Amino acid sequence: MLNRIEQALNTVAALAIVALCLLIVANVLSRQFLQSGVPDVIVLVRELMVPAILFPLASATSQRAHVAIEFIAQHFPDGLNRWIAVLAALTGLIVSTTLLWAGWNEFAKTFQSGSHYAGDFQLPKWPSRAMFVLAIAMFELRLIQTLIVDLKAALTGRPAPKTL
Amino acid sequence: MDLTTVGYVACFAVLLLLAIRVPIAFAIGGVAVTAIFIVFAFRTGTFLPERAIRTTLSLAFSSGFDLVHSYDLSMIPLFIALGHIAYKAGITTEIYEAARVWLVRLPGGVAIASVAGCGGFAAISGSSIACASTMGRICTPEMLRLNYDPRLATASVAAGGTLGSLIPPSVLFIIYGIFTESSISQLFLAGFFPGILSLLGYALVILLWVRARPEVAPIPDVTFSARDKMMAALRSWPAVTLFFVVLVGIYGGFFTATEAAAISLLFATLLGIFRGHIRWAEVIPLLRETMATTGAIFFIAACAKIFVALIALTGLSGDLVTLLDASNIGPWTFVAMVCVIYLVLGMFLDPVGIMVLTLPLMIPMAETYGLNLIWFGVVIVKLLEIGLITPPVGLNVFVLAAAIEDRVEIGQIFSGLWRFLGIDLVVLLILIAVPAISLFLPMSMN
Amino acid sequence: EIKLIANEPGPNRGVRAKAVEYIAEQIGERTGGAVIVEQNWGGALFKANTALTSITNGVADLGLIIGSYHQSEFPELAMGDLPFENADPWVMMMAMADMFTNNAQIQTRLEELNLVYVAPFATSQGMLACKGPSIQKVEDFKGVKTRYAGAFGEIFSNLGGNMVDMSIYAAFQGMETGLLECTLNYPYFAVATKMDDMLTSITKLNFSGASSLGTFMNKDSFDALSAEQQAAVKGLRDDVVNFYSERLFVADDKAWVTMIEDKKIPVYELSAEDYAKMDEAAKPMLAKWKANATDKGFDADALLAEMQATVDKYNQIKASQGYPWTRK
Ligand code: NA
Ligand code: NA
Repeated sequence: MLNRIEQALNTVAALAIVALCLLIVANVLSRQFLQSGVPDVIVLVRELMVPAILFPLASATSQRAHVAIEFIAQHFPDGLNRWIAVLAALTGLIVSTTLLWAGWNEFAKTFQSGSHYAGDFQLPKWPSRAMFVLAIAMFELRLIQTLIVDLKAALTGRPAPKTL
Repeated sequence: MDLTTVGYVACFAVLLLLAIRVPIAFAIGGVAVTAIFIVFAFRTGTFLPERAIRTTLSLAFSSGFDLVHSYDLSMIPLFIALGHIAYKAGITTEIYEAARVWLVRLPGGVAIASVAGCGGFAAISGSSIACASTMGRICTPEMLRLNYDPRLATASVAAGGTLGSLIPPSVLFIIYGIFTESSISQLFLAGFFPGILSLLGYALVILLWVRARPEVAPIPDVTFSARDKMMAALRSWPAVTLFFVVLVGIYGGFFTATEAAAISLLFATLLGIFRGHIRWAEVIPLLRETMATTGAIFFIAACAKIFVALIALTGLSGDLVTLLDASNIGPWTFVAMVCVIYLVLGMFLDPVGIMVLTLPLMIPMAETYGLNLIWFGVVIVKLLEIGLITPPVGLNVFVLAAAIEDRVEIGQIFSGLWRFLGIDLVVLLILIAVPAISLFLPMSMN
Repeated sequence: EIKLIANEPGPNRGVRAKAVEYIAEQIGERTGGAVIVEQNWGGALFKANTALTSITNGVADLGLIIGSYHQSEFPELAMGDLPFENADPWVMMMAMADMFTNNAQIQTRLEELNLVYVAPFATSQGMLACKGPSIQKVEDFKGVKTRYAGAFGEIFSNLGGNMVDMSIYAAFQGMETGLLECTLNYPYFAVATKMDDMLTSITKLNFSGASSLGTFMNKDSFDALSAEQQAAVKGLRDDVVNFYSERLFVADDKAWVTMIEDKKIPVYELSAEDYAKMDEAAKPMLAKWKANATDKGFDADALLAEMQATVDKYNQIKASQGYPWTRK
């Protein structure tokens, strides 16, 4: 289930990159040949950056693709490293929980007040906040799963699975 | 516990967590968020958890969201995607074949070509992170394919990436120019020769390294005829064309450096499709791979930004800089101490963060010593660039590792980098001792 | 001893930075050293686009909020960016400060936003700095690649300008490569950053500059001060305006001398008919502002009329008495 959602999120991220690439190119062409840029191009690109960058965080977490420094810890005994993995998941949860909570506050505020950007279309601010919350919520879910899996591994002394 | 102590403890905690294999983003972000909460909770002397939660959430959100929600930084995913697409389209392989055929007798020739490629990329992008991640995606797999030692294949590009801010255009010079009210055009010109000098330094390191240990860059036992060389050069036309389209576009006033990223991605994709190397249906799956890496890169950068806010709150950087003021020193001692302070801060913080935290205090001091601010800017940017490849927090190294999907371990990259750091210090000394290297171009243009 | 965390999005250079330092110094001085300001520069804590939430939530106790970044959340502050003809920075700042101190509805809104008003800021009246084309009448805008940020872009765009949205800092390379032909700039800033070296013509814009800037304090932090300390902070307003505008005028005058006499850059003025056309072109932008103000419960027309009357009031004071620092 989570895997399917992640696949979808990654596809949306890829589509967002296509969209912002085409928007920027269209802006260059329009400026050159139509004597006017694409309206609100900066705001649109910034909005698209949120799904493009953050939607893949969940799958990066399930693939354990967050970069870490290995060369000291690889000399530690396996048992210790399994407990370190638990600590790592907890540390990640501090960040993700903070961002999720903060993102939710921000989403609620921009949604209720209907605040919007300046510019031609006066685009609402809440969609990017909503996407932020969705991305971080999925990231948080995967971190919780990581914590459970790694805690089990630490308690049983069996190696944790490489990916979730 | 006073604020400065909180700052020191936070730095130590990051060090510890990094050492025991806690993911970089988690370590930096987790410590920053916790320490910011502590700072705000005990600010007034009484424990105020509610207000501290509100401020911590606000600060974490604005730092993290702002970094992602950025028009200018869209160039990073676009350029990394360009790396993926250009690889799939055979564009990078062709140019590497040409480099291999032409430089087969030159020890470490392909690594030197990669560093030169970084220099070329630096001329179109203002960001070292973009330079390291894109060129890492392009160059490192090719070097690994040619059986280069992973340390050489990564360290050369991580170091080459630092040319991104020295060779114009450069985000760091723009920020420095704003903080010193000096001419950004002159700063750009001033960075050019120091960038070339650094590039030559890196080439020298590679040459000496491979001379001493030929096994790190195996020279195949083949010779190529003049005809082979011609053909290889001709076959690399897509990469050459792409580079000139971008160069002419930027310097001819058709588009900005950020726009160049989108243009070249579209160009490379279409090229790949028309030459039959990529099918339309493959584009989205290819981009999905790209986005997985950029997400991890941005998450590290976002956490680094929260950490900068923590350092601002604790006043740690200010304390370091006031060391300069406390002692009655001559201009050369001043510059030497600036170097030490920047190297120390560079171990932990990102370049923009360091500038924002230190320049307001440092520049007035530099002025009282009568230092030339253009030259001083070159020294500062070089120092900041060195910080990108020093442990424990070396952003260029981290983004490179992420860009090549962790195929080479960070410890290995760092262990390949000490040689480049050595030459960087030599280059730094030369830049300090011979201001003319920096000032020649801006002076002659006036 | 109370320490206030202050955040400034800009660098510690230039006239406005001097005034930011002045605010910090004066708070210290007027509270007998009991309240100390710890200044952060360059947006070390947060950037200008998140200043409203950040100060509201107390990330900093004190700092600059720029209305153009918060047009829908803070329209009364964004009002300062609307074009008021012939209003110089002193007049605009006094008028904005007056409104933020005396308008009851704005007072209520500030309470809701958890903010306390300290002092205004404004830029000089703007100018179009060009390399290549020269804008001598509004028709000359047509097709000219022009950098803007903020409200004025829409006016130029409606007049046929080819607007390029980028920061004033990114404009340097844009001007050099020819990507940009003109950029909205300010006399003092253009000279300070040496942009004047590449300019071939300047067109004065006789509108108020960006005046949607204000220094605000977090209300919780303000309430934690003693009554005397609060009075000291509130008492800064006019002194900050005078301190800043006097220095800004001196710097601008010097910049004009540099650009006109030393660099021999031709400077153009637009005619009354041109300004009438610009007023027409500004209507959609005005309509958007009114919608935002109405959204926040204001009678937009009444608020604007009150602002215009306040601008007129300070224009008259200026005409009859001169600037405060020239009065003896
Ligand atoms: Na560059
Ligand atoms: Na470092």
